[in-house]
Amino acid sequence: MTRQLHPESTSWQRSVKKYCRRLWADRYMYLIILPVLVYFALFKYWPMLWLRVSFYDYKVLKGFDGSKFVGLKYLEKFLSSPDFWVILGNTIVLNLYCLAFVFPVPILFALLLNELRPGRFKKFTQTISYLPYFISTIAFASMIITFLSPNEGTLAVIFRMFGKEPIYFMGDAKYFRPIVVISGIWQLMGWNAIVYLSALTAIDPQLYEAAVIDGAGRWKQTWHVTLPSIRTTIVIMLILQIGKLMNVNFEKVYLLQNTANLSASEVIQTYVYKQGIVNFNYSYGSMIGMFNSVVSLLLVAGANAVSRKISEVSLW
Amino acid sequence: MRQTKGQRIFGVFNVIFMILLCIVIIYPILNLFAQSVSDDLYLLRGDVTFYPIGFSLDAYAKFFNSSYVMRAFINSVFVAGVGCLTSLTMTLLAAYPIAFGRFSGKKIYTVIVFFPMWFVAGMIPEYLVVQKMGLLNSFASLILIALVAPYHVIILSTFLKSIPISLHESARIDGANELTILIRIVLPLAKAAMATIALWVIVGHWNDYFKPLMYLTDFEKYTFQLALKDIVLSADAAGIYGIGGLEGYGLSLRLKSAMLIFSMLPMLILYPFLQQYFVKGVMIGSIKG
Repeated sequence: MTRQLHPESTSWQRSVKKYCRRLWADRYMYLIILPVLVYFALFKYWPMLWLRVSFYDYKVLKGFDGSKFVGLKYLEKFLSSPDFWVILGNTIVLNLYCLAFVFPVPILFALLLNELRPGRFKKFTQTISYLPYFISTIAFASMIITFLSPNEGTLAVIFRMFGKEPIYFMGDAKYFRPIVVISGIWQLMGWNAIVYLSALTAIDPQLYEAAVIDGAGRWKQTWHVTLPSIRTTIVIMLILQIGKLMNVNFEKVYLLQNTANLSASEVIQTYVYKQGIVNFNYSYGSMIGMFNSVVSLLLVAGANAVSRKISEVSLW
Repeated sequence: MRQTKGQRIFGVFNVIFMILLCIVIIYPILNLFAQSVSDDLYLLRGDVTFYPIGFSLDAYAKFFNSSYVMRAFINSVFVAGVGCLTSLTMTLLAAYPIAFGRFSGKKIYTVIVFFPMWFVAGMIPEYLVVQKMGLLNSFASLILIALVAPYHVIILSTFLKSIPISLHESARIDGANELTILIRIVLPLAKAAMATIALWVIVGHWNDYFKPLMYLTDFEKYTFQLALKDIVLSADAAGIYGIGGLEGYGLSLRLKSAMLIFSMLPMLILYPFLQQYFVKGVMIGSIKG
């Protein structure tokens, strides 16, 4: 046996040697990735291992050894809690609203902006439109609340101008989603349009010339040349958006939340924060968070697969 | 190309629409500024719209003299500054091997770096890790959690890939090692993309509210957004200064507006200079798609 293996083992040794030499030649590259790997291990993958707390009745002071393993108890607790359907519904409905309204508006805006003659006015409009993106969530939330306030809010002033009684918008759950959606459009319209604008500038002008020769008017050009040309970008953005279906703009929702609109504004992440951090129920919060992450991953993978089949556009 | 009548009408309407849009976007910000410097009298009557009526900077003076607000401001500058430098270094280290490396294990490395974009452990495990490391109530927690974002690595490595490889090859033949190439050749060429990422990181830290809320417990360490929240979302901001009644109500309004303007100031000042970088960065990212 050993004699038979002999020639093979030398070739094996030789390839090991060769491999080591290659590793050594790339030593600086490994030196470069070392800190990155350490960082990712500590701050991205170690937390994933900590998802283990979801399966325990985790007590911080006792550690895993002193805490009881409870399996899927917390998942069952979440799925069977009366809050579950409300929270899941709120999260998904809010996101579908955003998908229906906040998502397409930047595309329209980019198309309209593209129709402007290049020059100072176009640049000015663009510059102004990006501005809201840089306002912090706290500042933004406070602006929204002030704007809608029935006492000093701008909207109340307008209401009074038309002789109507101002409405306390923040105090009614039915206004919560429109508030999030409209303010979302205000904040993101310009910023999200950048991607489409850059796709629009990449369109070959000859395509338009050909379309004009074929007798296409402005509408037909938009429909047959412009939109197909930015289709890939739209699909990619759509897949990314679907991946976020379970994740709302958490800070904003949390800051706009109050007891009066809670029935529409309690979403998965705010619930995780309250259960996990505020009530110190780490295991429960972690389990809900994990549920959320897994569903998000499945959604983005699903959307990607569907898109690859239909339009041959995919993220990976 | 000659325009038809319909196109000309559309063009006019488009311009009018865009002007209205600009007004809708800029009005709330102008209104805040006007409120922050106007006289109480007009403010309370609701007369202040686009421009200030009367003029006083005492709301600004109030928090320039407040050690709580100023300390929070300095804390935020510190976190954003240190966070930006460390993030840039690490993001460059992370992106370079993806763009130029041909080492064995590159595929695994790439997966390791990009996987966290699609699956995140979430708020609670992250909190527990920070707690375990003894980093609670420290600026390090804020900086480290946000140190490398996979999305930034994608942007930077896509940008680096557009650097002609021959440059890189000839340096390697000259006997330079990867570290030398990275610092001497790649870094100077990657300035635009690095600037983009620097700005994203700064904006991220500056505007971040939730991580400081979760991780910081000492008032002394509060960042600017936390102080901002204390003042603007409290019903009675002037009460903090012991001024009540109608006078307090007017001052509260002005204080809130002033604080909001102050919070936007760094971005508003930097914005015109940086805008082109932001836009460039998003475009680099979109090329990938």
